[in-house]
Amino acid sequence: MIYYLVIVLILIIAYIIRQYNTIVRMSKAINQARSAIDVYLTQRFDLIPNLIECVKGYMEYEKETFVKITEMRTQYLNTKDLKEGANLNNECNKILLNAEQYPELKASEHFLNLQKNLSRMEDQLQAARRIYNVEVTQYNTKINVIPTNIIAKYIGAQEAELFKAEDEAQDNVNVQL
Amino acid sequence: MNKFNDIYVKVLKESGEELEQLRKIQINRTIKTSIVVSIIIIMLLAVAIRFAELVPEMLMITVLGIIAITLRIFVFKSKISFYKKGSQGDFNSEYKQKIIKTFIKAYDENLDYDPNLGISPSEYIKGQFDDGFDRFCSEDLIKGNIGETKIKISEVQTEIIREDEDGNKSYSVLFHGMFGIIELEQFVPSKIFIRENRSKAHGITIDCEKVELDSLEFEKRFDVYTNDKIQAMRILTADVMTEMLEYYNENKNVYEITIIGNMLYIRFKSGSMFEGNIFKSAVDFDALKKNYDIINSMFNISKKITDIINKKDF
Repeated sequence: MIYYLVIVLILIIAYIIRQYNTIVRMSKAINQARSAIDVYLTQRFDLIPNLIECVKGYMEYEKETFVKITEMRTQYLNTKDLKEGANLNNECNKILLNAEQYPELKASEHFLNLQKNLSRMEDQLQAARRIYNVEVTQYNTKINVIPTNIIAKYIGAQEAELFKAEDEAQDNVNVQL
Repeated sequence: MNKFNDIYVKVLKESGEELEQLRKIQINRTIKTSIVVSIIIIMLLAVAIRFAELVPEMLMITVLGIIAITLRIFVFKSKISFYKKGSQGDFNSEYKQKIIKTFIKAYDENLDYDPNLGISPSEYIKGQFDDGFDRFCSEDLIKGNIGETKIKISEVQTEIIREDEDGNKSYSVLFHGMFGIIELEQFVPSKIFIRENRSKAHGITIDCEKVELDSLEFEKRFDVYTNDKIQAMRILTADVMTEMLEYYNENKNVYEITIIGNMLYIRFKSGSMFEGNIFKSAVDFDALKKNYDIINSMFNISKKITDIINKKDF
């Protein structure tokens, strides 16, 4: 009888260890996905000085706007806050969108190269965000289902936040053409 | 690419009647041959039984002899039919030349069809769908351009040898269906394998891992493996996944895709295609519709994915 109890106990402990390890692995996967977003955002934002230099002679942007964007970039590089990164990314997209109204700018080879690179990076960024959301969804599901939620509560695992594009999408709609 | 009803009317008008007459001739010939062969077998059996009555010791040898000859005929016939599909003689050959050729041209005039050519084993191997095979057969080659995309499609069958406990070997079908190769305008710097859900992931290289996608419905039907999750996500956008699912649900036909470098490989587990059947109409609607659905799905899925890839900057 004791023999069977010991086996059951070992199985339970093994199960708990396995679930704990899974939660930890999933948490690390989220960090990795967040890091990938940061990498692509940083790559994109490294082109901001070039972009500003390229457009300021053509576009009727106030100097303060370019200063604001440069400050946002510095802020993001210090904090690595994804929301701040999303806001800055939105500002970049507005510049690119408004550039459509300037034929001389569109004809500039320098600008076209920049646009192509930024567009590729935006595409990679979207993919990275989707991967991040998948990892977060899997993790959140794992720590909420029974009986893993008991283990998750005990180790203090918290739900991760999904990346939302709603704010960004709303701002894009308000851009003047 | 034209709609099925227009294609069917064209096939019916151009080749249907002539081939229908040939089919009837072939049926009569088959029936007559079967009757003659049956009579011969019955006569041989009668002689054998009479011989066995006169020389009872030879009964076993006689029976074994008849069984051996019959088996030899069947084995020989099955070897022939593996390498020469649709062994219904003239009718099948005419069916392919007249009906299927017209069908393919009516589908898209930029496509050419040759029933005697196929895709080579080395080209098939590059798709990395199987871990290996012992026998390979390909025929019914369709090639041409859809827009600016080069495409080659062929019926393929691969088999492996299985050995039982007693050392008896037999061939087992690994894959039988349509296989396509599409040349992309862009080089994709990653490997992407889209496989049937919960399949054994044959052919996946060791540097690739399974990637979870953000579509539950897609995840139920397909497993995706890649060595670069970002590139896989860039290609498998929401509308690509939706369209892939639509074709899966329409045809209920399993298909798999491999993207490596500047090539896309796709295969449908459709079974035998483009084969005439002398016991059905030469322009059997259901048979042609099945062919159309598979070909159309292959082209449309390939086009969707190639359009996405060709627009991207890798």
